[in-house]
Amino acid sequence: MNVTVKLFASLRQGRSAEMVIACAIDSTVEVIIGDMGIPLDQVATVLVNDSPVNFGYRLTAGDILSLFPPLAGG
Amino acid sequence: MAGLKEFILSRAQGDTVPFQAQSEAAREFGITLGMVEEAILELGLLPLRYQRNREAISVTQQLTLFRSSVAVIGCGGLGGYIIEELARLGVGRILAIDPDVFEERNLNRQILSTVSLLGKPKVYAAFERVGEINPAVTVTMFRHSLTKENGHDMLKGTNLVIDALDTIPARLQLADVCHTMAIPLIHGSIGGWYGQLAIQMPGEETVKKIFSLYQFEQGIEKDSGNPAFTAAVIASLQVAEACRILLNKDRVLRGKMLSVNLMDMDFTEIQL
Repeated sequence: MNVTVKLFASLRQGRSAEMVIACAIDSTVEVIIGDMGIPLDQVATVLVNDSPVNFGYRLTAGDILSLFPPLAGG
Repeated sequence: MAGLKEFILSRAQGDTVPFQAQSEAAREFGITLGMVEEAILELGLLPLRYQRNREAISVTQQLTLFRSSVAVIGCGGLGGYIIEELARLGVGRILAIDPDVFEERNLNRQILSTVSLLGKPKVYAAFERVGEINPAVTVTMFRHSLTKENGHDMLKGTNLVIDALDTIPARLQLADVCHTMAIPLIHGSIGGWYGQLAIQMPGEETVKKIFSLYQFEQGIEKDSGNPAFTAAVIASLQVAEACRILLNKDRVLRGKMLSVNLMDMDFTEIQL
């Protein structure tokens, strides 16, 4: 199945801002992040179709996965 | 107060009142500059310093801002710019909270920091700076960290809270206190060329949604640092949102996060 991945802020460094990727049916968010070579500790917020989800969330075809890094400075 | 309004009207220049007249009124009637400012605004006049606010902010709205109390939690990179802008905007009461003193590594971005203030508490710098910019504004300072235990006492009577903290656990504690007290919270945080902004209105748990997956104290800023322009941009956006909320304008960012990418000059609103 295909899902769209949108990357924000520092996660775009060396990667495209948005891409469509092919993955196995029922893939979890954690698997997709791993396949993209992004360490889990570089992701603070995960949205699927604009709703916050956790790393174990199982994606379905056509989902839009948005990933944000932790920004904690002030 | 007998005679104050007549005194103000006699010193008005058109529909504005210069600071010198405001100071004379405070001395003449033995009251604070803030009390004179409120009387000026109640007369439908404008302290001259706000003349260039006028097209953006009406006299009535200026009075609303003057009667507002805003807490700024953290007086570093974000907090310094926020306090500076709130004072110039004319918010009448600012609560500044920060336990830290200035260090040399703060000089790259923290507008309140100077070489001569190294080692001095950040809240004292905030107090002094506001006094120099706009002495009609009342600054209350706490040189402590805000916690779940002391937060309710610190924030009592506050209309709005602005998050200018520098760790995720501290932000989650602040968001929890604001949630319990039903006080609107404007979240902002930065890392390198990137920043984010979100509004947590009473009844919402926006900040928890943003950071719920993350188990560490710090984020990418630990390695990327924070340049001055990122702090200034996010702080200014937070103050614009503060002004919008205090003046009861449409909540355009409610339920959303604004992701700011200054490397690509990309501003994206994300529904949460």
